[in-house]
Amino acid sequence: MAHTATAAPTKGIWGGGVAPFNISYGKMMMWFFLISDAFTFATLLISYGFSRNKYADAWPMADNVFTHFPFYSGHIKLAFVSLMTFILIMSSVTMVLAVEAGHRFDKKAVVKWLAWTVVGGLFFLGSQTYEWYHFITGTHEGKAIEVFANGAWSEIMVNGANLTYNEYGHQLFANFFFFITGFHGSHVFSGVVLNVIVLIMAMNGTLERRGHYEMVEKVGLYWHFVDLVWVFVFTFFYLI
Amino acid sequence: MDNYHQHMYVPGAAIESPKTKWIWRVFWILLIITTVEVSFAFWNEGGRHLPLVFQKWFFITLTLVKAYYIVFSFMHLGDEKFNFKLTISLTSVLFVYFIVLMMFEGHAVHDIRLIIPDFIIEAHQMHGGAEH
Repeated sequence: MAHTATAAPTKGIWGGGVAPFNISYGKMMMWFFLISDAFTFATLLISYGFSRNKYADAWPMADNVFTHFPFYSGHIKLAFVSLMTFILIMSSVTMVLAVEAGHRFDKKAVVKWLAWTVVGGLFFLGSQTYEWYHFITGTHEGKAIEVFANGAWSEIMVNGANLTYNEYGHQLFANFFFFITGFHGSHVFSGVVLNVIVLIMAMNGTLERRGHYEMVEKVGLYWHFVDLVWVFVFTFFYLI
Repeated sequence: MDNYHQHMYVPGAAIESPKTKWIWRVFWILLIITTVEVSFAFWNEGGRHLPLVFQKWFFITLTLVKAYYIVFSFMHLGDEKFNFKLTISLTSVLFVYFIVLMMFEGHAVHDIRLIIPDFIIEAHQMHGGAEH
């Protein structure tokens, strides 16, 4: 790369120009960013795990809440989340295929697999919108809940859930749902944006002129991390 | 050029044929584990056949297996130096440890609320220790 000055041999190991762990600067910083990002996701899942067990009596089972499936009028448990998991694993595979193609300098294959990764990411975002829509709209029947307003308790009918009320059970369930899947969704969104940028760079031949496809590896790391987080959200939020 | 770029693109050089067998192998492993998780959740709905505690540990273990394959194969951490593997994986394992720890903690707080007589909790709430 043009911007890295080769270290003079006299400078020694502490003089700069050395790659620690023999890994490039960009890739290592991406790893450390991902670790710091994992801290944020971990705090959400840690507090979720605590609240879920503390209010176990009022906590709804997630597989009884998210039962909708597109083009199917009945209720089916876990099917849609499993589909979302499949979409994300699939887009992870296409990303790893793009990275592999980058190692072989196969520009056509890089463009093809990156494009499929973008498609997978968009499908996942669409699925998340679908899930949010049904969670916010709620069931047809709704549920009566006690609210405190103007100095007195009264009973109102509510449908669905938001940050003030939740028809399915404990309020924290709705809050955690919006925060965890929302935070993850925003990561998927920025991942798609990064993938599109690198896709354009690959199509224009910018990466080929640079001599290597490390940019694909870097956004690949980010994309796999997003997939990894979803694996944990799937287990701790939907399965347990 | 950096010392970690093993080779650079030479214009006009022949493109090698893809080696993607290992990618699809990992894909099938991830897919099968997810299918096992979902079908186990259906089979053991509400703890019909096996205790839910067992189910929790089963799912957490399978999740860690999936995480291992994603990080070490897809993210190529397996190809890095041993100390870098430690840097990343030790930190990450502590996250999962803490999640499980706080699940136990929440469970204990829940149980303690069942043991303490109601009038103590009510007295506590009257003095500003609001709950819910």
